[in-house]
Amino acid sequence: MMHSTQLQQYQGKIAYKRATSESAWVRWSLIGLALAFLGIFLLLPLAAVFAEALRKGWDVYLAAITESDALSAMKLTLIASLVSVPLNLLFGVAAAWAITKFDFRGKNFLITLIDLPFAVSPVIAGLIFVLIFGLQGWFGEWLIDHDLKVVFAVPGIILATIFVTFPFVARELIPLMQAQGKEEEEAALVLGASGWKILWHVTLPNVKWGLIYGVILTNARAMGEFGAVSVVSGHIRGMTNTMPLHVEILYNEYNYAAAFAVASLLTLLALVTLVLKTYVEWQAARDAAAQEKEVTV
Amino acid sequence: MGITIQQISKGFGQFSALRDINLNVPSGELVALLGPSGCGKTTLLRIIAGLESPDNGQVLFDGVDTTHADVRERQVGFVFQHYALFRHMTVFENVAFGLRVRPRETRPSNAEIKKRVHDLLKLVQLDWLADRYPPQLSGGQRQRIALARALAVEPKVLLLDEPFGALDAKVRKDLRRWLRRLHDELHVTSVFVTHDQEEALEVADTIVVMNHGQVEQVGSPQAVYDQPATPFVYEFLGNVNAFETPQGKGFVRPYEIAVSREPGLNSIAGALTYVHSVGSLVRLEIKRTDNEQYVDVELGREQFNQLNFQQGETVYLKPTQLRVF
Repeated sequence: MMHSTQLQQYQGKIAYKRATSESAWVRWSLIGLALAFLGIFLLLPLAAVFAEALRKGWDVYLAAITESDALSAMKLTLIASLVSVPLNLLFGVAAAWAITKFDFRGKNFLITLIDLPFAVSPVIAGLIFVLIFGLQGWFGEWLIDHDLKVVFAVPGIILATIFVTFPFVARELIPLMQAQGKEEEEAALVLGASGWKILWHVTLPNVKWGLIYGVILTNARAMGEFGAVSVVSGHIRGMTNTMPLHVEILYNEYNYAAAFAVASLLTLLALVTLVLKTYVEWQAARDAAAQEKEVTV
Repeated sequence: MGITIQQISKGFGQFSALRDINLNVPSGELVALLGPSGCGKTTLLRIIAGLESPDNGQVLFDGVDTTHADVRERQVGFVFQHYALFRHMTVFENVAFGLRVRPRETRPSNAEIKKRVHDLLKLVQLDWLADRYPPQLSGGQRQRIALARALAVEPKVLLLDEPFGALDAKVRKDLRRWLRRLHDELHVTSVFVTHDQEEALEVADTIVVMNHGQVEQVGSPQAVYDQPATPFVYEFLGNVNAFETPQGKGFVRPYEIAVSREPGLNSIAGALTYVHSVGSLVRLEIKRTDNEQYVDVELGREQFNQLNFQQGETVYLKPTQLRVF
């Protein structure tokens, strides 16, 4: 009898102590450490940008972001992303469609090639375009003869932006489309649908959220790109400065308030991107969960 | 529409999926391509559909060479193993898809499409699910919608790839009968792929038994079951005991063996190791005394009760039919 009571007590103890839990002291110090790390490396800089931007007051802030050079930088950034995002959307969908729905020689090479902009330093990416289109570059003379300017002009900035943002859409779509397989496309094909109709009515609706997610990431990178654009831009104020480059120039001129004011706009963009991204992920997860749940019915 | 397959071969890299296949599917028949996984049956089906192209040989539809015709021109209906329903479209839109994607000149009006789709949904007895989405359906319902979708374009040939493979046993059985009835109603030439011999035996007019990319035997269910042409067909269709005989390997079905307590001429002695008596048949497992191999025997329940064999007892076996290859 005695023995069995002891055993029960012992079992009770085991049931209460979970295998994964630690003492309160360890738990709280680990959580504290993580929070401190987050605070110092993420929240503090974020707050600092806005604090610095507004340090000299609202009027200075407004003046800094409505000043003509700042406006032209914003305009250029918008142009660069308005051109590069749709193009990369197109390229990304085409590449993902080709890679996931067809079999052909050199497929793996193509996948590697798509990842190239991720692997190459943005500065090198910029230099590539200088080497190709610059004065001493391969097409330099030809371009001068035809009075075309690529490097140190808007086309160069757009090219560099397209290059660095190239992988985002394709990278987002490829795993998704791979997981979905080709069966629905084959079904549509047998039912007589043309390639365009299959893409439009079957493939794209199935990757809707991945596509939107890819566009958001592409846009964020296109607007925020510094390295590659810096090399091809030539830093001509009011002409070839994008927002990140403008921030750098202002900062180098010790014009901190203005630099941070423009930077705060980019930061806001980042926050909007994060919110959108979270929303898209939430929607996609909801769709997936809805399907998952209904499968078991 | 009749289908003729002439000397079709297909390889994937080093792997040879189909080797010199010749086959004739008469118009209006329901034919099963039966074989173990990897025997090439699905590849053959996909070649007929035009989803895969053969390395050699020809596919003829009603005598017309269709080998290189585009999938879209073949007018086939294809039902995929995992249904392949368009997940973001309602059941109605799924079935309507084949009509909606037609070029304007041949596309039916919206009213016609609506009528046609509802007729088809009635045919598969799922009219009430028109507004649901595929993920909201059960496996059996999805498969029937997939069939309705394939039938919407009025195919001349219906091809089904393991149509019941992903369903549980009960639903499978129901759908099987239902497909048979549907075929009797529509009389569209149909080819279905299966690895389930029972399914093929129950549903098909003709069974094509395949193995290692080759056709082993073509015949009615009765013929392939009762007169298997090769050892493979014997072993693949139903249970079978193999005996070494002086003439070669002999095959005997479990119900083609007489069991008695008395030794007879050429009978085989063995110990009754196990009696499995559930259902109308009693299955005996007998361990041969000479080579310790197991022999399966099936007896009718009444016969078993009369003989009243006990586990462990020594019995004598004699095949009533033996086929030697």
